[in-house]
Amino acid sequence: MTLMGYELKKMVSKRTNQIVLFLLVLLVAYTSSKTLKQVEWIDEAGNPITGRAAAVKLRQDMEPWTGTLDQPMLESALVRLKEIYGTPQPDLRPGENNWLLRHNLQGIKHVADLIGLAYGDEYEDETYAEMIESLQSEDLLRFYENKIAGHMAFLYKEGNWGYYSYTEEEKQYIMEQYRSLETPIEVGYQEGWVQASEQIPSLMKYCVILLSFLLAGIFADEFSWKTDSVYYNTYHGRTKSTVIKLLLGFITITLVYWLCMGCFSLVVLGNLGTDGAELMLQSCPRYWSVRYDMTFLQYYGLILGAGYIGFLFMGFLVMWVSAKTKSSVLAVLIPSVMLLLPMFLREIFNPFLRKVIGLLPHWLMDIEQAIRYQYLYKVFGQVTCLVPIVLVMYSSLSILFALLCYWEYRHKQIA
Amino acid sequence: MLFMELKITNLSKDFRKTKAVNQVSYTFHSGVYGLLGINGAGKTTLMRMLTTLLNPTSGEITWDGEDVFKMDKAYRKLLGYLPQDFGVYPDFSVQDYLRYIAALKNLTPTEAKEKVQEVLLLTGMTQFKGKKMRTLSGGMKRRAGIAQAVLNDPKILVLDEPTAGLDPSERIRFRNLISELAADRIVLLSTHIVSDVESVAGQIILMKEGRFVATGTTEELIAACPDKGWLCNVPKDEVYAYHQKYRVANVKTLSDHAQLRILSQDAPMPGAVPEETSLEDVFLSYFGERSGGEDGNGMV
Ligand SMILES: Nc1ncnc2c1ncn2[C@@H]1O[C@H](COP(=O)(O)OP(=O)(O)O)[C@@H](O)[C@H]1O
Ligand SMILES: [Mg+2]
Repeated sequence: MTLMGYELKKMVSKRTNQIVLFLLVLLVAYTSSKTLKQVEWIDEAGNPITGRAAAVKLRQDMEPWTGTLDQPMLESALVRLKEIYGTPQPDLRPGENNWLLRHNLQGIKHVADLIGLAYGDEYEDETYAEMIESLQSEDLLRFYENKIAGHMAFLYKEGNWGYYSYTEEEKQYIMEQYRSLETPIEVGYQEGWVQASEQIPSLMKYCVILLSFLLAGIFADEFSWKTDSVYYNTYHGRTKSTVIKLLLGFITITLVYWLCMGCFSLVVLGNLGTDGAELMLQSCPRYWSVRYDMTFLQYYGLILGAGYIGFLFMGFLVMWVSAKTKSSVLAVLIPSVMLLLPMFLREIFNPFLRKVIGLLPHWLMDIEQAIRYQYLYKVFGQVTCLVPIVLVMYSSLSILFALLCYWEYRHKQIA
Repeated sequence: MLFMELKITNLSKDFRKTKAVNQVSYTFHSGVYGLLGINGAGKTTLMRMLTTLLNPTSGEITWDGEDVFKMDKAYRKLLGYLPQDFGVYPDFSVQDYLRYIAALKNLTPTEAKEKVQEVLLLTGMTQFKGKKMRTLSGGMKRRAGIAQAVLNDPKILVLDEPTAGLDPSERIRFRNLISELAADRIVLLSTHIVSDVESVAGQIILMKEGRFVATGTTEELIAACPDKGWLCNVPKDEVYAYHQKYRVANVKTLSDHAQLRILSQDAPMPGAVPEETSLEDVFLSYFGERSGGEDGNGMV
């Protein structure tokens, strides 16, 4: 066996690590099945089905409402919506939330929601029927104009987030982004991408917490097993073997990350479908206010790439701390603290602090929120959102911590 | 060209207030060196510096004139070290463990296989090679420790309290093993037990409070010791008074009186019979207490 082989053997023969690996498998299985259940389809009798079967039905229902969201499609959608809302509602079963309406809406829901966002001032379910009733087909000509006007109103309305958080220059910049978005948009079924990207952040977060147990031991176990004094007086102890430990850490991060995310994506997209990969984010009501022309495929790629950088950063940080403190205890707490921290920071509204908060690493595992984050940064005279900044910053920090970890471990004093 | 010279010059290590090793200078050549001192004398700290585990506060260590910390792994290639208190990889078998350390010591897999067989045989561990390390007894663990130390045929073999916790028969085996290993290398062996080094060490170093207080062969140390051993017969009720006044190496209680062995420059009482001084007496003279006996009980 090579040195790498023995390091690997140390890692996988440890009982806690075996438990961690088992938990990782459970985590992926649980998150995948939970994600599949997010897709729901209601039959004529009001019985919901979920998962792959629901996706198939939903895709069929959405078939007529797939394509360019232009005037003809908006008009026929309005006709259909007036029809649905004009139908008298039957007596509903107690506790069942308007199943017939939901059954009728399911194929057209995405278009209905987009119309609601463009024309409803504050889009709410209760007032939606009235809004549809009063809406005329000539109003629909202003769909894309309305969208921009709505974003503008949000930015300039006193009491809103935008009003407080942006400078005039930034508001101009944002409006420019909205105006330059491609129109008309294509719409259609994209449930696989939506569900996968919605659920993957929590998978990443639990995954990196578990991963830290595997990583912390690589460096700290020599001390807790008291094997350090033999290890460090050997020929390779302070040099090649340290590199091998770092390399094992890197391989562990990479394998755990891509296996977990890969399996999850495969199961979710395999069952819910990869349809809609080329659709723009704004075609989904959830991403109405996104300011970038980005397809779901690009978006998912960004999520995976940023998550990987987040894993590398946290991983090398964990390893560095475990080498520094000669113990796993503090090191394994790092990801949990970093991921929990934002919950406590939510109530801080000081603009400067908000900008600092925007640079924390948890955004890498929560790209959707990062894209929506209100604060902008000026880098080299260029206004930008936090995503490119954190990507560059944490890639560099990962390398830095890897080097620090090497330096720390190589020069360890054994007393 | 110098040959096999390990030299320490004004070597010191401070831990906050404690000067664990204090301005020590010495030169080692091939042979067995016994580093003798009570607990806390600084033996382990000195050995950790010699094995590059710990950087000195001041002073230097050279191998054939070259600074060992600058030599880095070229120096470590020459080292074998059995730490006083060491752990093992719990889920490795003895054989895995030795092969791993062999790999760390830059042996090729073929060399490692051969060498591991050899050291297993040397330490009598062959039949336990498949045993998980977590299940080893203290004595077996120490044997595995010695086995790993000699895997690379070290030029400098450092053994920190190698006999601690061994039973008498294991001790004897161990002394024989040291004699076998002694050829053409520096063996530095620390202990607080005189009998461990008496017979095997060519040179003995007495270490006290971080300093080398006396060095030389057993004979030289005895000759240089200011105290001599005296056999005195005293009434039983005066034993305590003698304890207060002199270093008493031994007390034998007889029916009507006690026979004391006292260390002193001059006869402690009229009628005291001078006796041959032993290394044990030298130890007592320098440290004020007896070395740990084979029973591990070091107190008077
Ligand atoms: N890591 C350390 N931190 C602080 N003090 C230490 C450390 N290691 C040893 N010492 C102190 O240095 C002195 C010498 O210890 P040591 O070298 O272990 O002696 P020995 O091996 O002869 O028993 C002791 O007083 C001990 O308390
Ligand atoms: Mg010691």
